[in-house]
Amino acid sequence: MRKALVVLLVVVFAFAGCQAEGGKPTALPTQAPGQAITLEFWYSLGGSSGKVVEALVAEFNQTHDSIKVNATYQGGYAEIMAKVWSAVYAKETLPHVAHLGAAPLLGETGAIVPITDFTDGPNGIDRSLIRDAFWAYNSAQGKVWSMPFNNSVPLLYYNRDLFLRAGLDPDSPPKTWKEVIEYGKALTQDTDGNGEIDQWGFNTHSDTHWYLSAMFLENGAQIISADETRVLYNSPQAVAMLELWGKLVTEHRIMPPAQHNEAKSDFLAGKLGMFLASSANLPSFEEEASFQLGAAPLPSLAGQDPVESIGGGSLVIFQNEDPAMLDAAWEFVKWMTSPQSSLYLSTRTGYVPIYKDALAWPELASYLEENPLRRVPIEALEYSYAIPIFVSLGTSDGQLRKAVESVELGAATAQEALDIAKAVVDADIAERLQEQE
Amino acid sequence: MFGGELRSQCNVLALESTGRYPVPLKSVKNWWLSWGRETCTAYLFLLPSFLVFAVFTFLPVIFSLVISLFRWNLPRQPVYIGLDNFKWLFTDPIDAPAFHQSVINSFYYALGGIPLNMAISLGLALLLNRRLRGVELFRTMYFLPTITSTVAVSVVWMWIYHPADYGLLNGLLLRLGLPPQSWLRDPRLAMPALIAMGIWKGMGYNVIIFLAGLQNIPAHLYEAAEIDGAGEFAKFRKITWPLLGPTTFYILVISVINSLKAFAQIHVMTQGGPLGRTTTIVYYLYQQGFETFRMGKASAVAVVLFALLLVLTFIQFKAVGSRVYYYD
Amino acid sequence: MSGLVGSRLAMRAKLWRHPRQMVFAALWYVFLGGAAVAVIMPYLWMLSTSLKGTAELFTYPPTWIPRVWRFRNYLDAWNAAPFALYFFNSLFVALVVTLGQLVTCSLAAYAFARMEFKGKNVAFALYLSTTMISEQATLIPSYLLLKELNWLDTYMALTVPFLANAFGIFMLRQAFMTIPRELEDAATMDGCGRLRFLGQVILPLTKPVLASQALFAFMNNWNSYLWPLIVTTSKHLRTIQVGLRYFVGQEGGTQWGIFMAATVFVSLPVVLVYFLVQKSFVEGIAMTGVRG
Repeated sequence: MRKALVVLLVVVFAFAGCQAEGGKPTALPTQAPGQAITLEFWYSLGGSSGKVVEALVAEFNQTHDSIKVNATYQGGYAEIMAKVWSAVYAKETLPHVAHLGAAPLLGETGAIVPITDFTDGPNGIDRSLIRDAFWAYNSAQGKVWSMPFNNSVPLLYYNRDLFLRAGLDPDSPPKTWKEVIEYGKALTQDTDGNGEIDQWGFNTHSDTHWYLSAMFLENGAQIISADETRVLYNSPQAVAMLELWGKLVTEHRIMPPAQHNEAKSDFLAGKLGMFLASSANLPSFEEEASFQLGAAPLPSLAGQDPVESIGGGSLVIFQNEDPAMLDAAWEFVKWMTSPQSSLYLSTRTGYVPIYKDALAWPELASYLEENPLRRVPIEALEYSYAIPIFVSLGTSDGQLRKAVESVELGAATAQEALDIAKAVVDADIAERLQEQE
Repeated sequence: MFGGELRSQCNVLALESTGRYPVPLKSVKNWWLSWGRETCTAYLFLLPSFLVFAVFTFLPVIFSLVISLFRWNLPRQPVYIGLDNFKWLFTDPIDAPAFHQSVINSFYYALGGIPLNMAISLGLALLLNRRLRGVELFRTMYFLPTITSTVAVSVVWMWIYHPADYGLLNGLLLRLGLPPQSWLRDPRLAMPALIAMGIWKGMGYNVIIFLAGLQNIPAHLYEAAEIDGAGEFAKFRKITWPLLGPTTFYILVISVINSLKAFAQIHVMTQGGPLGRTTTIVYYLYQQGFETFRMGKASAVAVVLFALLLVLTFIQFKAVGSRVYYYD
Repeated sequence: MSGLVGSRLAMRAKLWRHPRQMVFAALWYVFLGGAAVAVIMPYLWMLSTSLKGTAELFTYPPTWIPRVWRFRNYLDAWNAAPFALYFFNSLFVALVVTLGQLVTCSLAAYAFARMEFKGKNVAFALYLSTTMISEQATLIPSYLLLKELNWLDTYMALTVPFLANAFGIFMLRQAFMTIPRELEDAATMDGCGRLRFLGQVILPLTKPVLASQALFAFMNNWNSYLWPLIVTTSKHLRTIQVGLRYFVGQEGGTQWGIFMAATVFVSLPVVLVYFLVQKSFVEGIAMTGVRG
């Protein structure tokens, strides 16, 4: 029995070994001249936004005879990252183009081509037409790796009906965090008088790390040291902002503790006055809310500008030995991120146009006439800012969410929570940098 | 090729020997002749399943063992670091407490759920072991959660546990004049809430197994007991419970394994929170492997989990298994 | 078995003779009915939600019967992704795995139940130890292995790794052990091969067990999500649970009613299969006896 096992293992290992030896990085088949080039494209947007991506791809295929794009949904940002990373490691077949979040992290693997190789090439684009923050959002280690595609910013959504009922002016939503607290107190109510609060003033969506980072920046805190080896989450400015966040729960009692997963349903149910969430939600809120919807930029500190930190996904082009394939891939990416496509995407989803002069486009202007709320995220781009993309971003996001949770539940002070977050993230960065050597 | 050779050798043996246990020929010194005809046949029968297990379970497990000796943060190349990942799991000032917490959480989930689940399941099985009208309908219903995907079920249970007043459970509490709870978002209640759902989900399977065990108890034993004037409770204590021993033991072993492997409901409902109170070992492994892509550390956790399950199962066999009454 | 049924019939007759027994019967229904309500409620809620518009989802008190029945949710859900293809793929993969498992498990179970061979205990322990491996632990190694086999993005990746199952082998072994030895000895003397004996005598006698194992195999495969997503990349290989994931938006925008409608029709086939085999289900598990 044992011998049989050994024999079998040896056979399988040997087999695996042979394969590994002969197995070069599997490049996608190169194209014979004269034929239409077929591009594989992986994307990670589901639901109604996914439909818009598919429509764009279909439109591209219709207008391009020499290139055919084959688009496949590969799960959300987390799943597509797991897929791409294991494929990169295993040298498994990668697509030609992919759409994913935190795309610049792929840069150091050598699997993707810096997008500037194309944007600054003969068939390039004028990069100055696109907002700087979007380029920063797609950069790591001093290189721009990916092309901004579907981007969103945090918005303060509010229920105009509840504002009116609480005696607040729905046309002047809170601009500062101090006003958020004031408004929140007026909105937090026990409407049926049973002794339990059933209408809350304020809450955020579950990606609390995103809003907290933006708040750090609003108070002048830095995210990471210049050499990108340490996060600066326990600076006094940062701690002050998490303290402010915690007080929304513990002192002002305008937000229920740790219920960010349910906040969206509370908002749609008309049981939450103000809701901090991505602008990507705008179309679905417009469709599903049974009340008058309002939207405003992220609140800021008195006398300061808000920091609208960018979120969302980007397009990357994978390495390929055949320049014709790379050219075709760029042609596709260029088309997908052109002003026309950007207009199409931003009028059908809650993602924002990436071009500086978007508000001057006549088509967009007339669209905004009819849909005034859609103007809010686009105008907020004036304050757009990219949180740096660094090696331990995944760990960092998780640690910030944990810190928020601990403070909301009273398990730690803001200082303690952020000290821990910093320690964990720093250790993670150190480990990852050590490997690079 | 391997199989074909074996088979031809077995055929030779089959021709040369007549009895059920063949006498090996002295002249042939082939090592596996001494195995005998039945052993040959048996391994041929095991071959298909063994190949699948070997390639898709044992090999990956060996692979995991190897990976646990490397620092391997995808997409970077692995670096050999010996037992550092294990040292890290047990001594790192930040991660060791988190890992210990995950072990405690796993045991909380298992110990909190299994006894209650088994008690309820046995109770229902005893009730179902009657030929009354509707028995089959009930049986059918109880089993439904077992065959529905955990993900689908978890999504529905999030509505039940919704902290607002329109959550099903809170709605009920409010009608009864009781204070609503934030269930999955409350560090004290999150794990009990998961356990309750786990019981709902796993009960049907246990009920069926118990029921099968009950139906295998010969009726004449009860009849004899009744003649002796034994009451329902005495019959349960003297006949049902001891004879159900192997069934109970089987359910116990399976439940421990399944509890420690529970993942999907945590992934959907709590993501390990609040305050890490529902981060079980498997979820911790998932966080290491698929949220931060630390494959070496994830593999170390996997190895510990596997060892833990082996030890637990072994203990169960030693402590309980030897004492169950086998009826033949 | 016949004695058992007889005694139960007697019990039943007794139950209704006496008023005290009637109280017991009433209690019996109350207990089992209560448990059944608790079990069924989430399903009713799922159905109810799947027929609601968003506005009605969040009302207090919760409504069980939708004020407006949105059957459109089902149509919208069905059209949101190529579900016909997903159904076909899932059905194909689940059936192949189920049939394959029945073959490999019967063979192995037969060896463990009715043959004496060297290393039997070690082999059996080794087999059972596979139940202690969690999917998350072996996902990446398995992925790398499939890559070496050049099986990524093929039906092989979706089926072959699941062609053996230790639970199935254990249950079938239990059932096979209940078949009297004498039958087999006679058969062997007749020159009837063990394989033919397995196929012609044992399997027909243990049909209910095979049915229950088939259900488990089918269900597990139908419900798997992470594995098919990681090992396939082409649209034409995608299975049903990946389709379900599509409804959960990225930065927001999950439409609950439609998502629930999809959940209902995705869960339905397993329930149907269950209703098909449920008659023989308890019989099947009873046959395994679980006697260690």
